Amino acid sequence: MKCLVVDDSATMRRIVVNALKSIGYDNVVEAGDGSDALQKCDGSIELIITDWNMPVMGGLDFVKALRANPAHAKTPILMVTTRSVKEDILQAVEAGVSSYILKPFTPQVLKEKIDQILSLAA
Amino acid sequence: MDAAQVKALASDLSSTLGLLGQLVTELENHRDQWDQQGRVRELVARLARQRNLDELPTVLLRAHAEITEILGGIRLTREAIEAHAVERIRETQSKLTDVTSTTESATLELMNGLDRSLELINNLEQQAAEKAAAGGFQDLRDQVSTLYNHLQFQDITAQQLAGVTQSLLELEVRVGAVAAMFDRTLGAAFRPDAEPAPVLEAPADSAHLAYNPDATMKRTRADQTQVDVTFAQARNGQPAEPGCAASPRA
Repeated sequence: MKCLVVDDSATMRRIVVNALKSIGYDNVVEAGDGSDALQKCDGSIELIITDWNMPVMGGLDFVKALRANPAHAKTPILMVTTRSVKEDILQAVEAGVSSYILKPFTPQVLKEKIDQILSLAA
Repeated sequence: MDAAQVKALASDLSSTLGLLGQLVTELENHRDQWDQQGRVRELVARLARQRNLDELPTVLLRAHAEITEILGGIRLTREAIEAHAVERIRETQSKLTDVTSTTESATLELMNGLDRSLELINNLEQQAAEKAAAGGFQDLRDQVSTLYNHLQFQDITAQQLAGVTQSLLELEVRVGAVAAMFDRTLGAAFRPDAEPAPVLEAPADSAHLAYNPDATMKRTRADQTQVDVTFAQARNGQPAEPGCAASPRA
């Protein structure tokens, strides 16, 4: 399964990629912001893990733009963010996020959420 | 109004008072001839009692000198704000940016070290004669992975520092505006050698979107569970109470 990891922090991208590899997802593409991610979202991407707070194009706008494309209407999207306010979670749901993880996270939580959204998508 | 204008006004006032004094004297000398009802006499008597008017030019000059001194103090304050406050804020911003850059570099180096450690573990495990030791290698691998995961602190603290930097930028703009206000108050005539106040651009409205100043390392599994509940309610169309889904520490 090909995954796309979107985060402006090189540290966080590497941690997410490492966590993905530790749970069996080796095919990973990286993007530094939402705009970069949109360009890398070809038909081969099957799972997206994105940060919220990013320059140029933030995670929320990225998800909205992606969902506007029928080709990605159902692509599983996991938002990984430090934002914990309920209004933020509601916005994420409205934008079309499939699941929501608080930073800092553990690979176990990441695996649970991925398993969950992939089973729903199946 | 500058010092020359004040002196001219004081001089005119002094002359006017002198003319008024002559007029009073003239009226006094001839009052019986044209003030039979005594009204002019009364006015002259009242005018003659306004002794303090004689001091008006002196008071005016003294007031001007005091205002000039106060403006000098304001000018020094404005210069102090520009030289110290703005300068220190900029230095602090620069240091915070350095901290973020340094911790990011250090974190990436740590990650490189952890990656090498994991490779070594894998190699040692393959070379180990006793397969019974395999469990120990896995424990070691798990420990290294846990360390790897703890390095999320770099992203979290970077977001917090970005929040502080943004606040300092906003403070700098406001302090700069106060300094510029002094310039307008003092006027160009007061500071002919004054350079224009620094033009500080307000932070872009979208700048705050690149980080979350409330980011914290103190998240627990319970916080994630609470977020999951809120997320599920929102997806199912159930109303969620406004506020913090997870614990409000930040």
